[in-house]
Amino acid sequence: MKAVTGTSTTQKQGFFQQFKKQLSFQMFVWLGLFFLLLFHYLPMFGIIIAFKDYRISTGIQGIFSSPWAGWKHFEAFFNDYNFNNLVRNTLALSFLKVIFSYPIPILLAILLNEVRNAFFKRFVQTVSYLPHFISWVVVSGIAYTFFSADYGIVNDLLLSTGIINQPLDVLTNPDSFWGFAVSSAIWKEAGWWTIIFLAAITGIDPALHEAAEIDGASRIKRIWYITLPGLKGASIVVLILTIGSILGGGLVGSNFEQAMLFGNPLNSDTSQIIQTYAFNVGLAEGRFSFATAIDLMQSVISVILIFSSNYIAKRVSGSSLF
Amino acid sequence: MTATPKNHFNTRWLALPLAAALAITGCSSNNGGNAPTEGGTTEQTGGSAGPTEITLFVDATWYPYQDWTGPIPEAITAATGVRPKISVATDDKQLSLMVSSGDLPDLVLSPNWQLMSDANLSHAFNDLIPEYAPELSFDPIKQLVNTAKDGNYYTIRNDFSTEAEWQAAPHAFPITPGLQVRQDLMEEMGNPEIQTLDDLVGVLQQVKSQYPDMTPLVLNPNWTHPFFSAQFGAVTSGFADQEGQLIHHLRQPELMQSFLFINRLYREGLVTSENFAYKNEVQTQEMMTGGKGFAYTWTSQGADRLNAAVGDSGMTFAELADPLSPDAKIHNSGNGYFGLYVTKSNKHLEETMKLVSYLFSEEGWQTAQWGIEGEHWEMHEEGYPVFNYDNNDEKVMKELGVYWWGVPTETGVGMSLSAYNPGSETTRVGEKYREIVEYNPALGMVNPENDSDEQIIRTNIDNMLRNEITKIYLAPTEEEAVKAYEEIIAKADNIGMEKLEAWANSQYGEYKEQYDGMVN
Repeated sequence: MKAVTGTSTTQKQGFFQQFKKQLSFQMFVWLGLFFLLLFHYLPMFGIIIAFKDYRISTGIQGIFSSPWAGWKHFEAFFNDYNFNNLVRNTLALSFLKVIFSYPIPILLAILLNEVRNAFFKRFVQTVSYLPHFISWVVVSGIAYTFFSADYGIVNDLLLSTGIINQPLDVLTNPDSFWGFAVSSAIWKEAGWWTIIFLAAITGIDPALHEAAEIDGASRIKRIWYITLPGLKGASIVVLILTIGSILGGGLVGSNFEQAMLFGNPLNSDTSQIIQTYAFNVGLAEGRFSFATAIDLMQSVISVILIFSSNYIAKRVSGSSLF
Repeated sequence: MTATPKNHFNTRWLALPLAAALAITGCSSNNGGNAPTEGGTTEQTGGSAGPTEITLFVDATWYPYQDWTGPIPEAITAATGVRPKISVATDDKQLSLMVSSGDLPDLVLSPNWQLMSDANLSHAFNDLIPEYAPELSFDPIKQLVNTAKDGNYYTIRNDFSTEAEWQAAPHAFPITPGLQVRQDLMEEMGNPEIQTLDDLVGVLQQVKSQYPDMTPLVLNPNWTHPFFSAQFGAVTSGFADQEGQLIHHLRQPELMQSFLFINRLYREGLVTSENFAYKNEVQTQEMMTGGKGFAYTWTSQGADRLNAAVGDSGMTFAELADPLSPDAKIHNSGNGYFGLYVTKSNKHLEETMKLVSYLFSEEGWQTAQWGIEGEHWEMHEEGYPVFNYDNNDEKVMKELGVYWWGVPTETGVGMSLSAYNPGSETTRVGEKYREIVEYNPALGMVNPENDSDEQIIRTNIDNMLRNEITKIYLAPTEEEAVKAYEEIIAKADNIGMEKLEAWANSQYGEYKEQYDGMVN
């Protein structure tokens, strides 16, 4: 018994001593945690208004005092005349983005890694990640200047050179919205995500490449057998995060911004998504309970997706996020 | 050996403020620098002899004046002993957030009548006036149209005048939808007559063949159909009164005719399809001032504003002053826009009501809106102000601090008289269109409460219409346009349009009776 008590006291002392030693680091951690709790976890209690008839004029206490509404707001969303369209557009845009945007940064990182000219490599890298810093509002302005059917540079050029007879309606044609959204998102974000994969490639032991080279392996073989397996860990983490945020557009995000800025009455059949609907019909009209219900539903789907993709990744490849 | 523990000590204690600073930086970056600047507190400045400072929040991000400066605001402060401390909304949701956090200023200027006409948020004018401003009185019709469900009126909204007031002011005209054309090009084409909608189509076709690089008609995204709907005599929003029964405005055959007319314009290549994708009127205004469009839909002030914008470029704009059909009608069911609300957080009710009462008085709003009589303006014998300064020059107005602090309490007639300018395009249209204006404020009173089922139906219909209406406009044939219209009606019925109409009719009778009782 004595021995046990002694061990426990020593452990306790050890813990405190270690804590004291790490005090300066612990302070950063605890402040970070406090920040996380205060601004990310505490506000979650507001989710209950998704099940209530909340009115903004009742203030914060109204969150608690407003009457319960059950599943009313969820039902209202399911019964919306445009529900099927909204769900189809959200899923289509999200999956298309994941399918097409996920491999591009990996490919770009591998290609850049193979470039021997340092200046060219740096130039391409800088040019490809710079669009990440331009806001979507500015991108939409640029897009209209380029692709507008009435006054866009591209149409002017194609019409004046006789390549086309009718202006291309890229920005107003419902059939071109998804393609335009996916490609513009890749243009904007692919370079940024390439940085992560380039960092992962840097972590690959150069001795492997040297040995392969001596053994006579071609470039393609080295990419296939060394670089790609070396990227597996980073790729899986990024894939899980991508699937977790798939309804927001995944890796390249921006479903909401694109649908809001490039969406218009002409392409609304394909450009209206759940997030813009929640904003237009929920927030802009002051229906906070309704907007919360829609958002909560999306969050639940995202949580399910992140857990299942993590589980599948663990089963298939052995690596996972948690 | 002794140096190490000392260093540890220093590092440890330096870490705390550093970490705190990081955390604070994190917080502020999350705010995006958009922390509300309004304060809920009031201060008495300058001791007992100085003016009382009250906080005034303006719920309009576009409001041109951000502070209470200039000789006119000073004159108002001298007359009332009150100095408002102004803060203007940085985004549309700011008032909602202030309401929910309970952090309201003394006074709120807002177009959100539904939100602010609430006993939890605002003091009722009918309680404040007898106690603090017995000299203040309002026309019973103005009280009626501002009365909330609880029987109180919490403000008197601006820009509203009764039909009798409009009739009594021959130089005041409500602003109506308008259509502007390039006068210089009209002259080049030999001034073809435009007296009917067919004449208009003919002229636009002539533009198309004579000036192929030009878009014959540009539609302002905020004013796409009201001009055409007015020519067919349709109500353009809310409900329409058909022999005492209310129907949703979408059901009017006249409205369908105006939609089909726009479809005809599209099919004949007189408007572009991309026009219907524009969301911002600045975009279309730039097309007009950049010389890319011949005709433009806007308000009756459009030509004067476009002429001011293009200056001496050689382009001139004129309004189509004559209604283009014997059926043309302007339905005026408005009840005003901005309201001044005295909030429940107000700690200086007496002083605030002194300011409110002054601003609503004839002398008060004229001073705020036009300047000091005799110095800045004089009343013409025919009953409109003649200014001694350029009242279209924003710089001059800002230096004086004139006009925008008169807006919160201006009447419809007052606002219109401010813009009266003999010989201007606005006045030319006003004189013709005043003959076809029909007033029915009772119709504007039929407004479902926020969050009510009826309000949700109305919002859903509006939202659906915003997305679907282009299917009518861009239909390849008239038959398909009619089909698209019928599909929209079916969708609106699915959303609950009939329920909304039934509710509207249950409300309208009482309002109409009260209103008619006051008018007759």
